[in-house]
Order: sequence, then C-alpha cells, then structure tokens
Amino acid sequence: MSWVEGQNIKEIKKGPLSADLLKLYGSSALDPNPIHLDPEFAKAAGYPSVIAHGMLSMAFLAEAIRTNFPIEEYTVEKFSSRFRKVTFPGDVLTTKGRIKKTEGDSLHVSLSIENQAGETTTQGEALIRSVRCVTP
Amino acid sequence: MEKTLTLSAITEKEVELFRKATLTETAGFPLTFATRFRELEFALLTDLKVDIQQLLHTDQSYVYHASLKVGDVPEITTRIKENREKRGMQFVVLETLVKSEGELKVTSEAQMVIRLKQGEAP
Repeated sequence: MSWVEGQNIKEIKKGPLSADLLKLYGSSALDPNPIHLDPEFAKAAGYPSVIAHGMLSMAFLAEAIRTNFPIEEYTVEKFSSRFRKVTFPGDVLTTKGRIKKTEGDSLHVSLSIENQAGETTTQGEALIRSVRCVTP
Repeated sequence: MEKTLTLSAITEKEVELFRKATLTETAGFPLTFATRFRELEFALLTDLKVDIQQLLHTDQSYVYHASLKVGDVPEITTRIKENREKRGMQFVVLETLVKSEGELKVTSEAQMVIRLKQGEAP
C-alpha cells in the first residue's frame, strides 16, 4: 500500500481494560510498581483505583503500527510515546494515527490514543521504512 | 551513574506471554518487549531514593538498531541521562542500551516525573 501525507491509518480498539489484564501485563513486563496492582497503594498515591501501565498503551500503539505496517513490508526504526493522562480498569482505548510526512521509503507517523470520553491519553510518533523489494 | 547487567536469554514463552498480556495479534517481535529490561532503571531510581508512590513514567522512546529475537542474551547498560528539579517536580531521564553478543539492538529512553510535594498528578 502506498501512503500519502495526511492520510489516516486504521484505528484499533482495546478494552475495556481489566485489573486482571494489568496483573498479567505487570508480570509479563517485569514491572514491579504496585500502583498498577494494589488498590490501597494507588489510593494513597491519590488515584481512585489502580492505574494502567503507560507501557501497555504504548504496546497498543505498537499493535496499531503493525496492523497498518506489517513486518513483511515495513521496519520500524524509531518509536516514542508520551503518556499524557492515566488510564484505569474499565477504560476503552482507541488508537489513531496519521501519516505526518513521507520521505523516500520512510514514513513519519503521528499516533495517539483516546479513551471512551474522547480524551487523548497517549501521543506517539514512529519512523517507519518500507522494505518492499522493487522488481524491474 | 551507570549500571550493566547480563540477563537470561529471551525465551519463546516470555514472548508469547508478553503478546497475550498486550493483546497483540499481529506478527513480529513485540516492539515494546524491551520494557522487560528496565531492572537497572528501578535500581538507579532506588539509588536516587525516589518515592515510587509519587513516580510517573511520562515518556518512552525506542531506537531500533537491529531486531531482537528469541535466544538473544540481553546485555543492558542503564545510565541517568538527566536528573533535574523544576517547580516541585523531579525529572529523571534514564537511557538503556540493549546489546546481544556485543551488537547494539535497541536504545531506550524513559522519562520519569516524581512529585516532590503533594499536588495533582502530572
């Protein structure tokens, strides 16, 4: 597929998040922070419940990248995220993305995640390169 | 301040569990799998006597130099790239280089924000 500047990429939806998913993610990602697992610890930190890992949101953006830019055709050279707003169990997250700039074989992609209230929780960027072989 | 550690080889089971926990359905090695290599970040934050209850991970970036794969033995080196205070907040940037058999695979950079006094979450 050829992409043009300003083009939106396919959205994906994840959730509702659950406390069990956060536990599974914490163990698989080796993240020991109890703020994601222990409701009392999270309340003492000023949150109404445990909060989801920002890195779980980044993994959802990674899934959005690979959904639109499959590994057979594209390599990812850089990928960054900014976690702007915390997310909680029960939240439903939708990834969004747009081709910001095309440059030869490279694509600069801006990414974001919105929760069910339409609030932007995460922003991201990726530099992606097409590896398709061009046959004469 | 810098620390280095060699981890155990990446297993198929670890990758599969990570894919399950991140609801990943697409093919390929997970782009954020290197988040498993943050052990030295936590160690350095402990050295800084950071209050983990007041800590938020606000930014993360990866530069991919070569693909990680099952069987790679990650050698991680983490350093404190920045540590500054501003308006009651401490900003710590941690850089981790992930190598396998001497080959640089991923450069990771994480920014942590720590509230130094009671207030709203950043």
